Amino acid sequence: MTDDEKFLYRPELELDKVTKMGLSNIKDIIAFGFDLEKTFIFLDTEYIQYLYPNTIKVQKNTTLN
Amino acid sequence: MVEPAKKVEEEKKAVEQHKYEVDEEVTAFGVHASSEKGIDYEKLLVRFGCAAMNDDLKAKILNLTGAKPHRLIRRDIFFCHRDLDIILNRYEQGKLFYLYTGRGPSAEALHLGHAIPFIICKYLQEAFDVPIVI
Repeated sequence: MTDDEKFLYRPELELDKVTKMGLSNIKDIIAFGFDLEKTFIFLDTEYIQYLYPNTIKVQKNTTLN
Repeated sequence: MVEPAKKVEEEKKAVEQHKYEVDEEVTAFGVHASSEKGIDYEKLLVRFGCAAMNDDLKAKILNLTGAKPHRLIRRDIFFCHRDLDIILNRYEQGKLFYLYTGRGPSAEALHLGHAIPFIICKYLQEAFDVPIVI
């Protein structure tokens, strides 16, 4: 789940809000009935972890040039 | 030397192609057709380097999985592919592959449009007995 991308792409969204939507979407995805033994679902901000959530918060407020 | 009539025809084609490239937009964020007839799927295939889904591939899926392909494939909702033939050939040789898909979080709940790729992924996981990363 690319909550990091969505957070960076949509100026109006807070990171907490996007991550929460991601978790909620994951519940919907689980409902499609994937094989429990052969399925791995991850949230970018949680899986990359450590400094990453702070890194993208800074990135969003920094110009690239 | 190129015949004049042929040249005119070629120029007309080039203009049409240019108009298409400028006006028709298909991205992850929006779809915009260049004419009232809607999206030109033939041109879309070329532009995205895709190949059309065909009966041979459907027959091969039937052969390899022992079941008819998913109805979304049978009914040409999935009308094109990239390298499906390569994956099927690998599978035929007993080599492994896995599925990789994903979603950008949007709203609290998914809608029916979001369901399409997950329905097909669920089918592929079941039919080919492969892992999936979401």
